[in-house]
Amino acid sequence: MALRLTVQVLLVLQALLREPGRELYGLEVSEETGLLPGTAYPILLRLEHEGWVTSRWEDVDPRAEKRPARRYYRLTAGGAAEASAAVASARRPRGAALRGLAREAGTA
Amino acid sequence: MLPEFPLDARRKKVGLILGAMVSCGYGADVVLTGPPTHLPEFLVLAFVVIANAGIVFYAWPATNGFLLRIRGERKRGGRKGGDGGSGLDGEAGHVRAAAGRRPVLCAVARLMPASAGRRWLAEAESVLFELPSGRRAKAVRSYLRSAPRLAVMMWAHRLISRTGRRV
Repeated sequence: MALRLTVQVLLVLQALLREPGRELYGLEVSEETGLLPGTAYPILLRLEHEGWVTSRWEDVDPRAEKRPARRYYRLTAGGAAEASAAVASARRPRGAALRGLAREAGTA
Repeated sequence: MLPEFPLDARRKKVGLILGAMVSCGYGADVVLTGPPTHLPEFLVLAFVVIANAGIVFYAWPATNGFLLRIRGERKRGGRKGGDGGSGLDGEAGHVRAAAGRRPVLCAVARLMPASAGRRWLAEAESVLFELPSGRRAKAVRSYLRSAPRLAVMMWAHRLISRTGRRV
């Protein structure tokens, strides 16, 4: 399954790329991207299937913590490189288009 | 958490479904064509009664146990001790201590392959638990909205990985 780089996917990748070594759990991803948790989850899952992201359950005693364990997501080494490239390539056309528009506006 | 059906209950469910199908089929046949001429009517009636009694006998413990378990979990706030499941399912076991189970999410999780459904449900419950109550309903709706596509994706993934393994 090829990964489609939608705006939402790019937002998730950006959030994970902010600190590539850092692990984020579902709620953090949702808060950093502004996406609803139900939207972020399938994206994270797809990224995991593609091997860009790895995940693990937090190793805590839910009764001691008084909350359920969180599932943490982190970019893999390969995933970080691919994600950086994807985010950069997604930025480029938009930047080029904006520059083109600015040029047109300047000549008009 | 998806209630884990014991094998016995699963067999009962399968028996129930088969029994219901046979009984309905036979009932429809009797209604449409009348009882078979070579059988006395009381035999047909006895068959239908016994079949339905069998269905009730099998269905009752299976469905009742299932419903009681869900209710019981909710009453206890879903806080269950002990270990979790196993494998990816076992990962979901961490969240057995999640807050009150949402029956809608439980039902939707059944659309997905078992392990994926358990993980989805566990993650949803984990996130919902930490969300402020004002944002929870919206988040639940978002989980429900994305579930059908996710279910399709998970089944496709499962299918691809299985066929890939065979080839």
